[in-house]
Amino acid sequence: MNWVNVVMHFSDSTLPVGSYAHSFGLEGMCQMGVVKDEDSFATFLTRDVLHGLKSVDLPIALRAYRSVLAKDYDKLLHWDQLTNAMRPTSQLKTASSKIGKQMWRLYERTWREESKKNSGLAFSHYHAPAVLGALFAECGAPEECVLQVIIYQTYSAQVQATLKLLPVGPTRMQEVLKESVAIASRDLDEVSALADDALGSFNPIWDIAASRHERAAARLFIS
Amino acid sequence: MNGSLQSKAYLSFRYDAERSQTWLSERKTGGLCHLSKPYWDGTILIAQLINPTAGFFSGDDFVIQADVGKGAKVALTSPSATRFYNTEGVPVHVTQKFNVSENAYLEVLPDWSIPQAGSEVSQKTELSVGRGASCLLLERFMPGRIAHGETYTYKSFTATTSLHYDGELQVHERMHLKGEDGAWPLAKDGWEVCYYSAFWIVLDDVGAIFPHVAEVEDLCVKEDIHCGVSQLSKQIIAIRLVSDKSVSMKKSISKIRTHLSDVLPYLKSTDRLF
Repeated sequence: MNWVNVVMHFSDSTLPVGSYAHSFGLEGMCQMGVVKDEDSFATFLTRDVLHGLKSVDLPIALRAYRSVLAKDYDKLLHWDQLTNAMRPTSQLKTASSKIGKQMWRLYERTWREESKKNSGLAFSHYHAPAVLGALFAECGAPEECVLQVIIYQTYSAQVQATLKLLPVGPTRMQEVLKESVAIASRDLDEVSALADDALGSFNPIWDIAASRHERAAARLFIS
Repeated sequence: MNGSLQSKAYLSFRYDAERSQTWLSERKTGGLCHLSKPYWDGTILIAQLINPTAGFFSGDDFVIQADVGKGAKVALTSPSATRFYNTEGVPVHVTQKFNVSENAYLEVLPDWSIPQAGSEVSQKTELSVGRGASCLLLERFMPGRIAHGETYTYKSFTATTSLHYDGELQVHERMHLKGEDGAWPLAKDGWEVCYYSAFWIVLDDVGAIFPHVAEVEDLCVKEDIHCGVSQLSKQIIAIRLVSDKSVSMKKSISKIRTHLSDVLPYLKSTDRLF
């Protein structure tokens, strides 16, 4: 198996894992008036989303990746369970878990080698960063690939969602995407060095917006 | 460390089936923690935790564990804010562990946590709830001595909250605030200051009460408070609140408790404290 093929397949924004149905709290932030234009959206990506990436998703994916390389599948379960505990609202939990589950299902039907199917690798909740970390470790992709793919997928999904939510130009959004990815790709050594007890995030405005969105009278996205 | 205090407190509450009453069966306090004489109101035992040093100073390290035995019903409150003074480069550590056994009840109602200028704080809260038990944990945060014009002048305030139900980790939240970040991530644009509170409700099955609990979002709109309610698992509901007005926040906390007491009747016992 060539890891480049797997990485390209699972980085594709058309991968049918259901992420198009989620805004990951962005719609709630728009409804609350926090994200309202190009500038506030760019700030949201490079501050709030980046904080979540660097304190939860990226370090969890790395830990999952390293657990699989070490064949420590109990540890993989632990990181998946911890991710579940760190998701701050019901819909954000469900979104991450459903997308991860579908990714793993697709991997099993496409690139996963038969010989690896009885390895004992398992998930408790199938959270997306744990799944991607495990998947890329199994296919032999380098560690940095996991981080870059998660950064790109996260920002790309937000950009796709914002095109439906705000009067923003698609070309300008590609520039915002590029700038955000470049910012997030700096200092990845910090993510690698993050201690276990520094895992976890806190963003009450986003959490409140995502919670209220769960029961909004009208909404485009599930989360 | 010069003048710092290292202090451990342990409280154990038991249910006496013969007297149908909860009692404080073990108490080790002193140093950074005093405990009032508990008051039995006929339903739950109410005890007040008091910090006798008026707050935490450079290098202070405080650990408290409270065990609530099977069937016991307890409310732990504090009569005043917990203040963290300038720690002069030596952080304060606070660890609080609450273990709630099967069919027991615990309510934790602290006043504001206030990190003042120059403070560096690391606080860990671990709540472990057994099957059939229930718990309400309140958190309140004020970003400095607002009345003195001192806002976001702490060095850092890190508070980790972990909730376990029947041995399974269900919530892990890490609030890591740095004074240099100012109001982010607490406040909306245009707010000079932000007050934050959260209720964590833990029950065997919160599904049945969730629709009623979610109504607090509408109650808060009237107080100009941003409030979000989410059911995080079969056993846990989170209610998060932010506001730029402390009076509105206080009123909302009181209103929310009254509303919740329709479905969590033990809350009626501590109503007078709000």
